[in-house]
Amino acid sequence: MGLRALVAPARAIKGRGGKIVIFGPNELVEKVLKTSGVDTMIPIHHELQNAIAALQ
Amino acid sequence: MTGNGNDTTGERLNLRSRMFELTHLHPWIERLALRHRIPANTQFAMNLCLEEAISNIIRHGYSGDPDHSIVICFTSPREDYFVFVVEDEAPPFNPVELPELPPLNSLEELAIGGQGVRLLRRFADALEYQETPAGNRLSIGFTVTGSAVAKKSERG
Repeated sequence: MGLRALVAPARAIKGRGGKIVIFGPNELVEKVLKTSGVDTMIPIHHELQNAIAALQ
Repeated sequence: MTGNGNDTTGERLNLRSRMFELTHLHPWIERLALRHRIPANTQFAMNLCLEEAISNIIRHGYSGDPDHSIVICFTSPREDYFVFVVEDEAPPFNPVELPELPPLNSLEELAIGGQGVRLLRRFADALEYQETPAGNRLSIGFTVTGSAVAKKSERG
């Protein structure tokens, strides 16, 4: 459910040459992302400047 | 069993095997959490694990057939320990003994099935499986003190 909602669009965005990051998940959401490995596909950032920089 | 997915009275929830029925889950858990003073972190784990377990039953156990039932019973056998018993009538499937898939490591891995079992194991404090004459019974336990939610988050 939730993971699919992230992974499918991320793949589409990357397929078109775009970038996607996750900004500021709370601790429990971050644990879900890391447990499932989503963080290896969609980088997680907690600082807005870093998140924006990763999209440049 | 009402069969209409909205029997949320007491400590039992009856769902039909439709993804839309998951919308009944979170309000029910929220009411249980209020009644039993379950902390937010544990409530989060309950929502996550039950959503994973039930969506797996609907998607895989019943293969998307919308006219089957799923019954969830809530009990608190002792202080600060909560158990959800999920029963279905699907073919036997034991998630407790299922080999764990590796985490996703590339966007090419669109088939993210199997991650639900990983999440169940990480976020629940106890998992027990029984095959029943009708199908499956999965018990998912959560503690409050020393919850797996807190301990396991440290391990990432």
